[in-house]
Amino acid sequence: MTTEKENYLKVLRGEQPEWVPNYLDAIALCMPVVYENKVIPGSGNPNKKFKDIFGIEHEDREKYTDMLGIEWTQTIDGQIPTPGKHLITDITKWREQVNYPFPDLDKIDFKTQAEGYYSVVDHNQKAVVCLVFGRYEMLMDLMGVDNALCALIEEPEAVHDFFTEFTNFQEKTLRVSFPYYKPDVVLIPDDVATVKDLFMSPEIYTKMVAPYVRQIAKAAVELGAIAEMHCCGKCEKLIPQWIDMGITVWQPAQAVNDLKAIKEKYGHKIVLNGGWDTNGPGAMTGAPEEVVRQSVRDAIDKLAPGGGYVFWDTGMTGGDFEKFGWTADEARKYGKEFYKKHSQESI
Amino acid sequence: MTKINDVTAAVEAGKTKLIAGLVQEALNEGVTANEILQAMIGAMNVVGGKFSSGEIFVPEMLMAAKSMQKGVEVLKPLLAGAGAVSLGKCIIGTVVGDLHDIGKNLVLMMIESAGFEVIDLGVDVPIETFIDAIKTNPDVKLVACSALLTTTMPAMKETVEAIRASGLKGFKIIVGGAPITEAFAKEIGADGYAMDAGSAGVKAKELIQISATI
Repeated sequence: MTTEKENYLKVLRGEQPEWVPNYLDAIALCMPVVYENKVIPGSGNPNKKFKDIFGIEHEDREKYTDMLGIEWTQTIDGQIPTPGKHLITDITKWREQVNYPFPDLDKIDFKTQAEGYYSVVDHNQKAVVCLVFGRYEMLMDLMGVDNALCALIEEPEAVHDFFTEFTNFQEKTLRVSFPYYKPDVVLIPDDVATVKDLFMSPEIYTKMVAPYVRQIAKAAVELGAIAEMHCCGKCEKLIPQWIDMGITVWQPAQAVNDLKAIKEKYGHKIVLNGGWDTNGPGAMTGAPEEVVRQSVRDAIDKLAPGGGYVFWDTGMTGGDFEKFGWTADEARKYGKEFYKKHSQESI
Repeated sequence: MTKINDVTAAVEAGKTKLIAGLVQEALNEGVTANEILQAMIGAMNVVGGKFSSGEIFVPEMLMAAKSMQKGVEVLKPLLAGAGAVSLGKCIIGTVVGDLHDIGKNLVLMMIESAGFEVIDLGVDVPIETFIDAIKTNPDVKLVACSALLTTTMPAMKETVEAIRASGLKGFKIIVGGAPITEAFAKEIGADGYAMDAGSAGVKAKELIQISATI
């Protein structure tokens, strides 16, 4: 019997899946730990708890510092750098302003880490997706969005210097941890778009960001994994560059992009993971169950024909676990039968 | 008037390192501080339009705004003496439950560049804080509310409704953010909606002009 993992990987390899995979049923995320996050004592609301994408419990508004020294605030919709707190005030002085040098990877016991991970994750049942840090995202997190965007124009050499060091560190982390985790997919996040367009011009992206995304994608493919891009917002104009880098999957493929046209144009060169309308009627707070379920069917009807599609609600439910349940249940029911009912529309 | 054209061009091109010198040269040429300010506001209008049409992106808009800020620094001592007036106060914040400041900061910058004096309440702003800020600034002309998440749209609705219910008057309410639409803005009783930071400054001025004619 085909597992969720096998069916999902078939899509990623451009093969005929038996059903439309529901992303969260098919994968388990991993992130080799290179530096412990330090929770700031006394922060957070002990009466309001939630679990993150790794299943770790947090208190709402809990604060912690990461490997670079950035202070983060946990919210029900994910963690964000604590607003107004910027670690880097001058990108030319980044080495002095962040925790640097980065951790010594040769001293980290990835073997034991991975054994711990696989004591709770069944690699036979789940495709393992290894999450790395985003480069531009990290610059935003360190400086704030406006300062990061200005730095791309005002101090390109310093930005390149930071990106080079940070990406080299990431690549090494991936290479030394890979033999133990053996992920199926390497997920490369870099949110460079808004709901309307890219943050920066495609030319600046190509010059300032793309070389480092390419470096990680190349390493992932060399190691035998599938390279997947994470970029929210309207970023479809970057797809040709991603394909050229060896990236074959894009998440969360949000509905603000012309997803149907993208499928027609690029075919199986890029698998779409997502497709659920995060600003549509089903995403609204208090949306009735049938509206939510219909929004799942709409996404599948639109994007599953011809294959190359993985359903994901992108987790944008604001902690509404009942809604999570509806989207997941509908994706399983409707997605499971889709290709049986639409055999002529399979790959 | 060649120097004032240089100032306008420098703001539009985001020449942060050149602008202060160009503003000083324009002053030396005899152009008044208020004329230079108006020219820079005009330049930012052009920049906002280019951003909304997709001709330029956020970094170019930011650099233009930074240039204007540096130009205004040179003018400030002169503007204060000349009794130059701003378009009025604008109170801005991201609604309660929402910690995102990206869109709010961009809009703040563009509204400021349009000639408003901006009071930033930050993110995760409780309804009472908006109301208190309006009470503390009875001459406020504009209240701007931002939300990035679909899950905080109800908080935006509650904020606008509470401000209306407070009975406080004399200002317009403008809303925006990734999931916000014009229809939603109307539904919750906001006076205006800006689809992006580029159009926020223009919309803000438009609302004030409408307000002034009522």
